[in-house]
Amino acid sequence: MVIEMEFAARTIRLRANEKLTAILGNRMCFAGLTIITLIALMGLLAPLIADDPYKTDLANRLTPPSPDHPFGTDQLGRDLFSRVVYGARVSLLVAITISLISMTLGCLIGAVSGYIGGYLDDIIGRIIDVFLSIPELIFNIALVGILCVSFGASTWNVILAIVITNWVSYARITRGMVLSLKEREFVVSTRAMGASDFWILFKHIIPNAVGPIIVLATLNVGNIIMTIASLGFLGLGIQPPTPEWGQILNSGKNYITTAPWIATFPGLAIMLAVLGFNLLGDGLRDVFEPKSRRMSYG
Amino acid sequence: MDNLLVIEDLHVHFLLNSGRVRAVDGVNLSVKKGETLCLIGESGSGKSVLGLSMLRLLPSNVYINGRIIFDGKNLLELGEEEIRKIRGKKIAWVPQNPATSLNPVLKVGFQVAEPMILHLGLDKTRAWSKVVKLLDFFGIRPAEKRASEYPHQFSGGMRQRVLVAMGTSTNPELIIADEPTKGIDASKKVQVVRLFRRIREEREDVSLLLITHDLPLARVLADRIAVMYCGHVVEVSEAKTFFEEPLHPYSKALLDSLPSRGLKPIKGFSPSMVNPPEGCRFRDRCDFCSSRCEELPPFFDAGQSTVRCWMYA
Amino acid sequence: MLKYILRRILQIIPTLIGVSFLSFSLLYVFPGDPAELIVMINSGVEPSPEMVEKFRVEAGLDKPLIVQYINWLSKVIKGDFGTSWSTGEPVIEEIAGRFPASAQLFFSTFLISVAFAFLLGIIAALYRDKAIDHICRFWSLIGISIPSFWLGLMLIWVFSVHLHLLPAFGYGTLKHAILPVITWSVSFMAIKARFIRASLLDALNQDYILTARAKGLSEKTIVFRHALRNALIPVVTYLSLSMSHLIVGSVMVEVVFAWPGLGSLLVESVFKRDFPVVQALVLLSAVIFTITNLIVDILYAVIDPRIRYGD
Repeated sequence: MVIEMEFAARTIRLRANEKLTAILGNRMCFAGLTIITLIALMGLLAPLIADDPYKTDLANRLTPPSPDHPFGTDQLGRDLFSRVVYGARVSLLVAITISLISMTLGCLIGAVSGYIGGYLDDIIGRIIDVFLSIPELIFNIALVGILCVSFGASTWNVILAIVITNWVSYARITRGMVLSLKEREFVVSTRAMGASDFWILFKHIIPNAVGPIIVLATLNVGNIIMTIASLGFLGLGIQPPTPEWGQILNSGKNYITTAPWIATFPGLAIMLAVLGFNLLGDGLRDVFEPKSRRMSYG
Repeated sequence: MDNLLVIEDLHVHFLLNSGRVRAVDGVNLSVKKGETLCLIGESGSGKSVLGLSMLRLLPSNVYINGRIIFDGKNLLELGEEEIRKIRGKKIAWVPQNPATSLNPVLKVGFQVAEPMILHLGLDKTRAWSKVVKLLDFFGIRPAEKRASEYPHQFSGGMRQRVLVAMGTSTNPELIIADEPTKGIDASKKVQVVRLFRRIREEREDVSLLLITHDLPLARVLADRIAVMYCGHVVEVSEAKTFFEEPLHPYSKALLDSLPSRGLKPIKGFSPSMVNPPEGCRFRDRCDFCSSRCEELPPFFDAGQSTVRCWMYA
Repeated sequence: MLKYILRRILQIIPTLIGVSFLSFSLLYVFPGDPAELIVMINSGVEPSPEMVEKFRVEAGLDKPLIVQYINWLSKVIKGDFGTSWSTGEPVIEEIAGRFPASAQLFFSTFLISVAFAFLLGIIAALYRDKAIDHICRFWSLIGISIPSFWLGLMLIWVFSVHLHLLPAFGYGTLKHAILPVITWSVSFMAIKARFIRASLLDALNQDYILTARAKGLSEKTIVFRHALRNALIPVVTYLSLSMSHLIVGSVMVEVVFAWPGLGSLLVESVFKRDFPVVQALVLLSAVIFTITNLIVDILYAVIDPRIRYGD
């Protein structure tokens, strides 16, 4: 038993090493990782590189980009550069939180459902279908709206709403993988060896499903950032004065004629962030999934 | 008999991230006019790669060096346009895997007619009537109706016949068949034999290169046998002499592993094709190896055959 | 094949029921008394317990959930989605009124995007790994990463504010449609192009392409006669599925350009707390999605000869 586990650990480490080299070698992964790291650094080092994003200065409202204010100021005189930089924190943190919660929830439900099969799986499969049939953005808008009525506006509304619409993507893929892996030979032989269901699920099936899930998670974070920004733009998302890119764009909309810079920079930030995750996700897809076994991400 | 196609010092290496796979590593082989040559080898021996390289059907990340002389020209030096004129017209390829080698959304008759329309300049009607005759010849009946159907409406055996019909349609000089009995039950193999015999009936002077690991099939159909092991051709013999008295230790071991001869497994494992060992590649598994074998043996003549083994120096 | 169609229709019924129940229960899932909420929204004041009780009985909110659901469902099936809390008009009329604008936007975008997507996708697959492929792929990647609302604003700034060439918002003439369609097309086309390229490359990787090549066919013939037809099957499926975006896929673009379609209706209703409209839009979009899927599956069966002539 001990030997077995040691062997498994060594194999995993070897495989992980291989994968790591492949990932870093892949051009798209590299580009994506670079962009993401830059943005993350920007957020991390925000206090060092930027001023207070909440400080208003009504004497200096709507000034164009200048050495003092590289991105200009908004309608309340706040420095836009600081707001965009701090906005990175907001977007990344919220997006990653949502992603982690939905991933845990979705993968667990999908894996258990797929593995146990039978009636439970049928029902959960149906539930997944139902959730998937509502277009994501529509669902998010409606949910956030309702949550705001029930709870009042808050960032948690956004998180809860997106988690509710997002967990299904993970559940669907995990369930699909578990269903197909369940019947593969190595599972049957492991069962013949006397392993418990728990063991099989966690030591055999899930490690094999990890690849597509990682790809999904990466692309998903990009999607979530876009959704958060979209909700913010509509005025439904994270509320001011917290600096959030989409919401800054929203105010920029009203000043597009007089102060176009308000809208320009946060939009660029959104695009870069999403681009980074898309690049990384695409690259990871090349690494983890040879073309013969592509999954569809819906 | 004259040589139809001569392969000289062919090297085909695949450039992968994990290294350079020397699939074909210095092969000399010739195919005579009107003969059936069976190229025998295990999976990974390089035989399919050899076949594909003759028509330049390999992907772009390969390194090919050497000469393949056909019709007075080196096929490896021809431009894209010129090699296309040979593909399907003078040298035909019958792929393995009948299940996936036919386009599922095009009618079978059309797919068989394509090379005729392209290379022989036939118009659709004439080509179609020829197709019907061909399908009928190979036992696909009623040919008229079947020609208008789609591949999934054919059984595996029928599809293989379609592929053969497609290959013979332009009266090529050489037909290369890749693993014709792969995945076919032993009981159905007779049909494959019949199929190839039928080709012979129709065209006496066509050369057949059968790439296979199926020894019993080779025994029945081959005029000559060439054995490949790890990227090298190790023995070329007349079929009769081969099965009575194989020369190369690997050939001997191969025949001994047949059910009819005792099912003796060959000890050891094939070496890696990324870093093949120096010298004779069968060394580690050979009962007869000696210190000489650390150097790669050249071909030696032994009667009608040639062998790449120091025992025959 | 008829059996296949019937089977598929039966399969979507539980999904439709599930979706309708989900839409119905949206208001009840969260804490807070729906009756109280409704009265408060409608009247705008903190309601007294008597008002709430009166309303509760009137609206039938005191009955068990299942009964309410069935009542609601029977009305919905007939097309009665209730009345808007903000305008008092029947919801279905509001939706019908806004539908044409959405339809126009969608179909124009669809046509333009699909045309360009095919162009990009085929070029990228034909010249795989060469410079132009990388350019097309990069363009697609950018297209899906660009926030459409930002792109819209930027285009407004350039063409409206700066150049005074096109109107910034509104609806009515062709000129009004140009910027919204371009904005939406960029991301729409990018997604489709990626799929078309992937699908075409998938087809090109198949064994029968080797057979075709071995027959001496030119690269062009191989791509257009052998590969494309196979690639079209999933592509047509996929494109048809995008039809389900019709109803409210254009939310962001409509909001940016003040385009009076269903997307902006959704957002407006959310802000006005006009729940029946929101509920109806959610339900309709889901129903359209499900039915589109069904139609597409059937279409698939029709064009793929394997299913048409097969089992």
